[in-house]
Amino acid sequence: MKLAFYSLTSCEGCLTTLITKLGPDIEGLWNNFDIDYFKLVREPVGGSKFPKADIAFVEGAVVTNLDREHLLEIRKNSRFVVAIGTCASSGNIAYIASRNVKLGKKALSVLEVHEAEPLSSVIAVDFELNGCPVNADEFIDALLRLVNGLEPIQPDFSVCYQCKLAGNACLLDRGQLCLGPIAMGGCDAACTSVGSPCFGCRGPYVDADLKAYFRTLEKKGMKIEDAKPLLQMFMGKKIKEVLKE
Amino acid sequence: MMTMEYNPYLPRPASVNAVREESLETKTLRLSLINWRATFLPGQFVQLLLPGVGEAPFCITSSPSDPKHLELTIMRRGLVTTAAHYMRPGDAVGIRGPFGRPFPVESFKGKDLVIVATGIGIAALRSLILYTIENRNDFGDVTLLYGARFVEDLVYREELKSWAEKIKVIVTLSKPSEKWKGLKGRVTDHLDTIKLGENSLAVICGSPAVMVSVAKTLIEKGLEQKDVYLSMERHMKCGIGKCARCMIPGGFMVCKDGPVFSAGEINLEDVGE
Amino acid sequence: MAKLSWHEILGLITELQKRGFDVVGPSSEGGVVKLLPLEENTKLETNYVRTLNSPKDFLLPNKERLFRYKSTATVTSYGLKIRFPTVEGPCPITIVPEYSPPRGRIAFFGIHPCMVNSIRYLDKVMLSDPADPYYKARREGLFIAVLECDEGDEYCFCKSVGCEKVPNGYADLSIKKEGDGFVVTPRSPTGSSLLMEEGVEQIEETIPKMKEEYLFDAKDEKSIDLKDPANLLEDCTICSSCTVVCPTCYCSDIQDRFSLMDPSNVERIRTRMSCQRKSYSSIAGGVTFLRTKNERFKWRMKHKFPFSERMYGISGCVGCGNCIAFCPSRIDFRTFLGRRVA
Repeated sequence: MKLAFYSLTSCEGCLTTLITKLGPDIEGLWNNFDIDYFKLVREPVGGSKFPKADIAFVEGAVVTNLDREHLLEIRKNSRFVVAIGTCASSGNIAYIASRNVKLGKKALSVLEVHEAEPLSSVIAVDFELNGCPVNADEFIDALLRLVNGLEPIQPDFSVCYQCKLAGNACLLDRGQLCLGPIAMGGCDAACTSVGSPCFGCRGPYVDADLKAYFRTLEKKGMKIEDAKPLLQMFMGKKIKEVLKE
Repeated sequence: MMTMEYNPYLPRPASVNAVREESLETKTLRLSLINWRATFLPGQFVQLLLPGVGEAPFCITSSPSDPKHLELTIMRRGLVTTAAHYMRPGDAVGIRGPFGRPFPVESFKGKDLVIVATGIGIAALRSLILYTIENRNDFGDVTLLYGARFVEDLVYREELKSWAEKIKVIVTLSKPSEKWKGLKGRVTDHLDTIKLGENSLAVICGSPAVMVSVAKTLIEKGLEQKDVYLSMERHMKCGIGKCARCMIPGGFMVCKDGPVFSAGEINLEDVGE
Repeated sequence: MAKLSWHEILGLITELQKRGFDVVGPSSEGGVVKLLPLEENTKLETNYVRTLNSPKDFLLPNKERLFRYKSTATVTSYGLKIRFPTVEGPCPITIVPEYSPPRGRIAFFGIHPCMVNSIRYLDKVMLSDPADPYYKARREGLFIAVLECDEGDEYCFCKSVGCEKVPNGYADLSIKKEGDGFVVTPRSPTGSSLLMEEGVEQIEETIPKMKEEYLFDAKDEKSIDLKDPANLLEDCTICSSCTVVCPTCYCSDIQDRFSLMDPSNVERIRTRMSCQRKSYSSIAGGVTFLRTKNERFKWRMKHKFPFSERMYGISGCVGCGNCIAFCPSRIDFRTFLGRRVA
């Protein structure tokens, strides 16, 4: 079974996370699958820059004209395309940032810089693994399900849920703006466990109720207007769709 | 050495003895139990563990007269069921159970049985059907009314013919092709053809909506609620009433209090949703 | 009965540890009081109303390994792709579950009566036939030192559900704050041996003062069905925190975890589940039985009250108020289920 790991415009943190966090599983990945390309680790096998793959994992947002061209090639050459990480699934910080600055399109001779988009704006994506960075355990689960021809499972719980399981005091109660109650979990409440509020890097979870969340904020004397920039920061295109409703 | 206490969470070994294709989406796995016997009655279920894939609950579809083998009829749906379709004779599996409350077959004796099944629901009733055939003299009239959408959906298509020699078998298709010469329509369209007497009781398994409408019709036609049995489906996890995943309205655990319930025990309105 | 200083109370903990107990008690950490293993650097907290976690987190821990098993499954070619070992002859290869019962006895030191009542509820659920072997192993030899509760906060309502007292046989020691010290009463032989006293004493338990009391109308399912929680739940984000902090929410999920590196080593893990999550009531084929937050909320209420009454004859709610106090929106079910009487 052939896998390929691509990187578009991003910090390459997701692939780095897979390399570092898979631990001994990275060896299993190497032994059990044919990895025909892994950005940072292995050059494309067999001459083409976009080798034929059963599953292509793509990190990064679509920002440049080259990103777009590469992504279309990846789609053509892969049976499944899985977006890994928040950049690929929602556009991440680049989504809102690129809309708030004037882009100097002629800054680089060969590159055109556009407003950042998630993969799903350009191609059909089979599955999105969220997170900034992606979670290695979720990656394994998703891979094993895809290998069996099944759709992977998105976490159906909030960051709040995992934050309480971790035994943390509520940051909202301390007056800190935190997106925990509506953000998709699966991260083991990594940020809130060290006292940093949740910015919702995985986007809203399946049952997220934004209206109820805003009411909760008001109840606590916080301003909805202060929450909106936070919502837009990581959730990119995803929150745009939710806010519209 | 300390004697090991019975741990219902630990699977016991079995191996795949044979695989039969039943319909487009269903296969029956015949399992040989390795160094243990399964004591069970029709209506009970087991947890099937596929090594390296996971576990899922399945009603036992074989007859209780053979405690060394279990048959499970599996429709391809999720991870475990998909993997089960790739099993080959000789493959090792694990079994937990049998769990659950069976059909009260002792109290069925001497009665006329109306068995109504739709789709894969017949799997949960096959054990009972085989039991009544094996102990044919213990029962009065036994009628199986079985509905499916297409011919290809019919499970146990070959077996139905041999069953028909011993019990009355009525098969109806709701979306038959032109070639189909048998009955058409849903099971509810043919309930009238079944004669119900004071001595009758009914057993139903199918989709929740069908079970409820069949149960209601039969009760309207004069059956008592306690004489109408339903086999419920939920995603049982632990199998012993500890994880509360299979809880249904009324606060019953399908794994422990069921999967067999009489219509008098549960609220049909709640179940049909 | 003995009057002990703070120092002597800590001495009791050390003595319990010497006797082989893992002592768990309330301690302040990160701005919240929670039950933690009391070790050298963990300070016992005796001035508290509630703890974020509860005894269930120790008796029925999240992500508990039930067993591990060996299989020779390997990931191979495309199509399906996980192949299974082949059994040839009678029984050469099989699944070998490895099971090690949990070790170490637990002592809860300084928990309030509501939490003791939650242990009683978990006992009813987990020890009813057939008993859960993992829970049973952890439960065996459990030591409980109850810290009597003087006064609850605005979220407490143990008296309204009849959980203000310690159930019979559920305490080894009773600890009551008095001035700078503590009055400690033995309530079991183990308790008296710890105090180096003889005999077991009956005491008049302190009944905690409640800020609010309620009369609930939740004995049967219909009474809950007839109520409409829509207004109450306007602020609910269905974050599921209520079920995490509840000392009696025991619903769990069972999963197999295996690594890519060594598919032959599989772990069966029991993790927490919540009725507030979509997957709790989803079955194969994509049907979800509890779709809206109203339905999920009612389900939680039903499980706590009528279902628990029917199955175990006691209330599934111990009135600790954790689900209200730790809810980001402070959603208060009490006025939904009944009315305030004091």
